[in-house]
Amino acid sequence: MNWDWSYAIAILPDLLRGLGVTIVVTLIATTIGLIGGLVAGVVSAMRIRVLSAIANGYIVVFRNTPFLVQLYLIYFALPEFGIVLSAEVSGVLGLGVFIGAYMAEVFRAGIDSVPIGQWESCTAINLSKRHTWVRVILPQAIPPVIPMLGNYANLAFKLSAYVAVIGTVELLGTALRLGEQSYRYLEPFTLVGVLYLVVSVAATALIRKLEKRISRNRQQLVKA
Amino acid sequence: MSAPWGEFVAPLANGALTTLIVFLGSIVIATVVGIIVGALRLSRFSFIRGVAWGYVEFFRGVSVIVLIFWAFYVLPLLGLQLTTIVTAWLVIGLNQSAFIAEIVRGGIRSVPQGQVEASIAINHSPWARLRYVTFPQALPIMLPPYANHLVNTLKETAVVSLIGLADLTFRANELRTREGHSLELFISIGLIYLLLAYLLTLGTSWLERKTQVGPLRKALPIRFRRKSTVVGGVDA
Repeated sequence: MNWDWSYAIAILPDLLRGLGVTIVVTLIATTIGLIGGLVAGVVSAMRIRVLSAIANGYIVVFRNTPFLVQLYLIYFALPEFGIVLSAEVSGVLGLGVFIGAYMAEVFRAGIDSVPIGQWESCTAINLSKRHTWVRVILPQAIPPVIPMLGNYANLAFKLSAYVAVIGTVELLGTALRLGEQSYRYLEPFTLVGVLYLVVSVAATALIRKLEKRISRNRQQLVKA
Repeated sequence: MSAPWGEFVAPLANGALTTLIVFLGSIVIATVVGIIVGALRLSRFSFIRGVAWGYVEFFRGVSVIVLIFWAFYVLPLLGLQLTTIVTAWLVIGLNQSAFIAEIVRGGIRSVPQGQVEASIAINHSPWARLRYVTFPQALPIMLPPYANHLVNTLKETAVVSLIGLADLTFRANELRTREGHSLELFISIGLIYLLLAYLLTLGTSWLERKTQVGPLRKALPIRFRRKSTVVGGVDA
């Protein structure tokens, strides 16, 4: 089977529309992941007996089971309890919850890397718990882990292809449909691979740049 | 209505076996190719370094699910007929090898420069330097992130259900369409994956203790050792 340029060009608009859906899915899921991850990371670091155990359980379970299984659980098992979500919502929610478990671990590492003296100083000047977290700990814990969070956003982008399995028509889903219609798989799948590669490599380069800038800013901060 | 567990056990056990077979083949390919590519990324020749870099960027940039669909639908069209299991091994193995290559590269580079210079001073060949000086010292550093990727590889094996290999996920999905009970089924296989991941972690932490070389061996209690949570890369 030979590469057919006219077919490849004909399907490109469809695939780019699919890429748009993929990016929207990634952005919403990453937002869910960031919020869920921050909450779980902070709760896990607070060492409140029951709540921290729940947060740690969430991190361990969602990091160590396949994303596909989690997706099936949300899409197929929730309706048994009367919670019927569309394929799109299930996919975005599942991806957000999955990536949140990774991000929680990253936030947790950032919080753990704040020197203990900072905590002691807060206690010494009688700062409230809320102020300790919001004004002292988190501003120091989050900037160093931003590149790592970026890496996981990139992972969310690549994993978003899984939501095609439950019937969301994003980039991979578009290719699957095109393949079914025309029985040509070479062009759609190859183009999908190239599109993922281009976006992902560009994102990685961007994150590396960000990383350099953050470490430079921090060095200046330390000098000042 | 409670689930007919009796009817679930045999298919799920069968599926778990397939999952393990896919995992073992993939991890062997990933480890061997990963070590080679990781070593090549430190080559003296910029051309070889460039090719190895391209390899790593390619396999880290493409999602394994896209790659497996591509291999499954497109390779036969290009005249390459592979059985499904070989396709699965190659796709997951090569995908993970890119991450393992980065671990190997990072591990070897973290060995102090003085060790390399000393090895040159006593006239070691490059191979002997890698075999007797840098690699043994890099091993304990590489193991914790490697353990992460063992678990990642295990999780990735779930994609093979999409190309028709009857692994754990495939069996659960099949039972779901026939019998229902999706909650029980997917939670059970989730627990099986968790258990397998836990066993892998146990195995690698045993290896970590075994491979400590030099003055560090048994000198530090485990809780003082470097944590590796954020060091390991990101999988896809």
